[in-house]
Amino acid sequence: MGWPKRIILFVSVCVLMVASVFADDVAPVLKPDNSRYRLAFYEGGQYPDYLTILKQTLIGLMDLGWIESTELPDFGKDHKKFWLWASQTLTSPYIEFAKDGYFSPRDFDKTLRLSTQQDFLSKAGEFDLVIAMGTWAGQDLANSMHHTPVMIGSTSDPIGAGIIKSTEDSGFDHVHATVDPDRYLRQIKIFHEIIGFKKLGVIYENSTEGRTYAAMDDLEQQSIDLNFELVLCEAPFSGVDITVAEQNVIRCSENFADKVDAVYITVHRGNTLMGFKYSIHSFNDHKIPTFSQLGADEVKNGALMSISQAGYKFVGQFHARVAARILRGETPRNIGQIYTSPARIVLNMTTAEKIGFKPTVDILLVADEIVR
Amino acid sequence: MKSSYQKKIAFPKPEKNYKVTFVLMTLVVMILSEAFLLGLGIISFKNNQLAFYTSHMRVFSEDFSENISMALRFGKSLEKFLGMEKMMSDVVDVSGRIDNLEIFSKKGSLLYTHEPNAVMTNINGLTQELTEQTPYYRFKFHLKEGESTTGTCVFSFKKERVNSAVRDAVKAGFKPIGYSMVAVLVLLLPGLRFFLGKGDDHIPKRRIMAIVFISIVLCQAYYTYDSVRGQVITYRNMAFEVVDDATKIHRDDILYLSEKGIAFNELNGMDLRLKKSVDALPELAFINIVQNGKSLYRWGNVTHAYDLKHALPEGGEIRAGLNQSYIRSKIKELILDSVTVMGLSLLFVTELVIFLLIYINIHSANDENERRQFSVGYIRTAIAIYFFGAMMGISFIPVFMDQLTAGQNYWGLRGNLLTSIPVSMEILAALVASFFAGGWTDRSGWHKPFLSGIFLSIMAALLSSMARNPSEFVLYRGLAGFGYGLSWISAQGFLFNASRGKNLGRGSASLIAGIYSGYICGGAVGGLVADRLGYAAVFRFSGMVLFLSAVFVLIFMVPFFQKPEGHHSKLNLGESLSKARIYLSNKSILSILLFSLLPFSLAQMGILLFATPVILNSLHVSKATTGRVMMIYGMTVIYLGPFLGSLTDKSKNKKIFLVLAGISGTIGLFLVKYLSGMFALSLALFFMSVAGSIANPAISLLIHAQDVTREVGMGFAVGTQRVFDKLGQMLGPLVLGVLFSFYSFQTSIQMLGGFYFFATACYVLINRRNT
Repeated sequence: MGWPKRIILFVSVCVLMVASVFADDVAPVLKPDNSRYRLAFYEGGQYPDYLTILKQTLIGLMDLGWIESTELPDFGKDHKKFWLWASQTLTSPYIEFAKDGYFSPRDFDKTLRLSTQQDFLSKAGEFDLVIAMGTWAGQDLANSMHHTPVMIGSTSDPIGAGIIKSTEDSGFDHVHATVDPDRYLRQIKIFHEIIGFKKLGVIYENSTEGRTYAAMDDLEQQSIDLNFELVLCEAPFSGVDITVAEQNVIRCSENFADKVDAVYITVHRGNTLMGFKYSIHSFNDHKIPTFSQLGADEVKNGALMSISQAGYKFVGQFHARVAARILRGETPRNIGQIYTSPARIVLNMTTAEKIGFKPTVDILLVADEIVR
Repeated sequence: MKSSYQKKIAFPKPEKNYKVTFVLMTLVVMILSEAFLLGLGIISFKNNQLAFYTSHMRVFSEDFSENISMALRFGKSLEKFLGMEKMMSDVVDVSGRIDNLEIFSKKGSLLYTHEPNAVMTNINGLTQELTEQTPYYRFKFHLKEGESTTGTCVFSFKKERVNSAVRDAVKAGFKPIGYSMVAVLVLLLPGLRFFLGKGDDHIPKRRIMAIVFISIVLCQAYYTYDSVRGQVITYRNMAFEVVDDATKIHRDDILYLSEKGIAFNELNGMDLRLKKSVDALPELAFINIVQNGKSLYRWGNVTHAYDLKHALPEGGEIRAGLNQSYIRSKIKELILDSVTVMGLSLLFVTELVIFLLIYINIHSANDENERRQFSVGYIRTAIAIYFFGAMMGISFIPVFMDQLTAGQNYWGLRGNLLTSIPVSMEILAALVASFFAGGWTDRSGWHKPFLSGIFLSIMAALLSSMARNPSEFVLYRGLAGFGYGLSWISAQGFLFNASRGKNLGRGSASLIAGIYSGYICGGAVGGLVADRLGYAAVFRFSGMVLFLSAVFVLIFMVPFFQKPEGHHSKLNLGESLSKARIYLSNKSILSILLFSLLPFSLAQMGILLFATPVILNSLHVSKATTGRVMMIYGMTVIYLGPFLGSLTDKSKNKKIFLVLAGISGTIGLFLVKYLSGMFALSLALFFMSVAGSIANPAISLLIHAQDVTREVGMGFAVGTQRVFDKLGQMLGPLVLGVLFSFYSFQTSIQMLGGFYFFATACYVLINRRNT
């Protein structure tokens, strides 16, 4: 080979190497054998957030070019139906949504939890990535019984629930869990700063999952740091009918009257539309300020305020980027897990008026949304 | 007594057309003086413009940072702040003067920018609240969450905004200058014909110079009046705008909340928000939010209805009132600043007019003797230019040293003690130079040490502009001090030798007046220019002015480049020590130096450079006002000094003047005990300046008249005089500093007065026969 050709080859290799360094690390690719990646979905129950976040993740993947853009339908609470639709309708040269890739122990049915896990494990090798939503899903998949990459989202406290070791290390090469370590700490601290309560009521299920949903570790820590009393009411929601879960919540809310001067409304299966509205009505009648852990929807339904994630769009984008990196071959354990969503402050002025709370102009100006 | 210069100097005969040259030079002087005033005025105007923009930025930055801080408190993060883009847009839209807004993280990385295509801020280069980064001025402030800083925000506005206002001001300034100069020239035209037609003997020189001086003063007074009028209008408009900005911010907040359904009576804590604006803006007296005529939220002292208002929904209004008493006080300050600027300009004009007087005296002289005699006066102009250049950095040398040290310790020192080292080194080097300069003047003539001193001063100025660390800077200031010592001693030596003792008192006072003119003008101009162009630029400009002083000497004073007779031996330390022993063992000399000169210098520097700034600072008097008070000393020396000096020439008994100086100084210092504050200090400075104006010429005359002075040489005598003077100047601040540590200000100054009186009494006792 003559010198000019050698030089051209050398320069081309250098350019390619440099280009590869600067190449987008989330751009869509096919599998090495040019086939498509197979995705599965695993959730603990029909919790609305799970489907919302899944949809936002899919939209994120559309933005990154992995899936052809299309409108996503609304099948209400039927998550399985949505997944089936996705497997049949979503078009992508890079990924397929496995028709048999939907796993769920119905709606947090304890009796079906083990069999659902076993079902997944028998097929785990067929999938290239599992999108897992919720604490149950995380707990069932974060183990060494399989090696299929798992991306876990929508968990209140993945560390407290034993899903991952720490914010920096999932503990398993094939596991990635999104974690916002200080999210609930911030909420409690701010609620206390605004209201200055001495006794904070919390309705929760006294189980490992229930404690993580209610961010009990953070509540207990803050009660010591900020010197307030935690008034707890147990309201089981696992392995019970939804109406029972609702009644448990209502019972606790009635119990709180005259016992607490503020309530932290945590994620609870019993906070259905009816259950929530009834308990809020009770709190407002007794002029008890309420802070929603979940967000704007509960504030619109009567909670006093919330400082929560600014919609699911941003977390969906985060999940989409993580999924893309995993599919491109990165080890899930090596991908950063910490995600801090932009905060959104919502305030209900009707509730404020009812309970006699007068938010200052500073709070009103900072609020992203004021509802009545 | 024959002058050692008499035989050898040849002074040129006057040019035939000197009158025409004189008229042209007078025109140039008028233009220069107006240009000087205009220049100072424009710098002052630009400073005021930047002060206005800074106030404007502060109003918006306080509100913006408050909103960010509150949001961060509520859990938002700076890096992912929902709604940040809208907040930034709102600020830029309402302000109308902010061209870009950037937010940087705590580590300095850019998080948000309103204009992505704009030139990005160099965050590391923002050393002050307002920094120039072409093509913008950058206003920076910190974003905080509680007490901790979470980031930095930068408001940028284009330099062109300020530059175009300055250009308009320059154009506007030409009009009054042009009109007044034309008017004056038209009035002077008949006199011109008279002047050109008269013979040399019949020219009423003093009258002509008085007319020239008054003409220039009238021009400057008219420009100053016009400028002040414009500045007052501008300031009133600016005050209104800044108050309006603050009011509009609250209006927009209320409109925003109103759109979200918040009623007027739900604006809890609104009065506290109004309080923050009223507290932050001294021009704002009150803000009042009313609905259907009823006041809902209010803060401040409602002394009148309002000065401006904005409509709010549902029959609401937000009203604001200007703080007229504060505005009046600011206007008073503006007027005083303008008058001070005019005062500075007049000093400059005085030196130019004196130069013209010398010129016309020389060219209308009867013989060579008279020409030589008048030419001696050129030394005043030379020294004035020299000091103008040498003193340009005087106001910021400690500040520059502080920047170079960057808060670290050096040589085991820190704080004020460390930053005072360059000035102390300058004084010490000048003291050392005094030992050499006198003898050098005697051996080689005044011109060699004088020009060498200028050369060293130029080098020191240029090197100071390039100083990279404290050690270099101290070294260069030492070099500057050495140059200053050489030039000052040799100038005085020149006067001693060239004057033959005739009019030495007036000449000495005139020389000192020239020094003070240069000192005050240079210091003031240097301070003003430093604010705009930075310290290094001022040092470079100082070098250029110093070069001009050398050029002046080489053009006008070459005939004086002669060695004095009788003292041409080479430098010999033994001989110098012997001279010192002879000189200082003379009772008259020692009593003058020890009981008059040294105590006066000690009291002078103590009260002028130490007590006045310290006491006025404790009374919360502004720096500008302190500067004006200190100028009383210089102005008295410049305008009264030569007159008092001429009295010492005429009197047979010179010693009485030392006693009178002692009495005057003592009275001034004792008055501080019985009167208070600024008035007392002003009087003290006036009496001290009178003391100086009497004592210095008298001391020069007394020393010159001694036989021992001729024995050791004029240069040596002058050098020794300066050593005692510098010693007193060094001790003054130290002595008063120690006294202030143990006693009150008034008692300390009274003790200083007592010391000066005691020293004068000792002088009287030693010399009681002739006093």
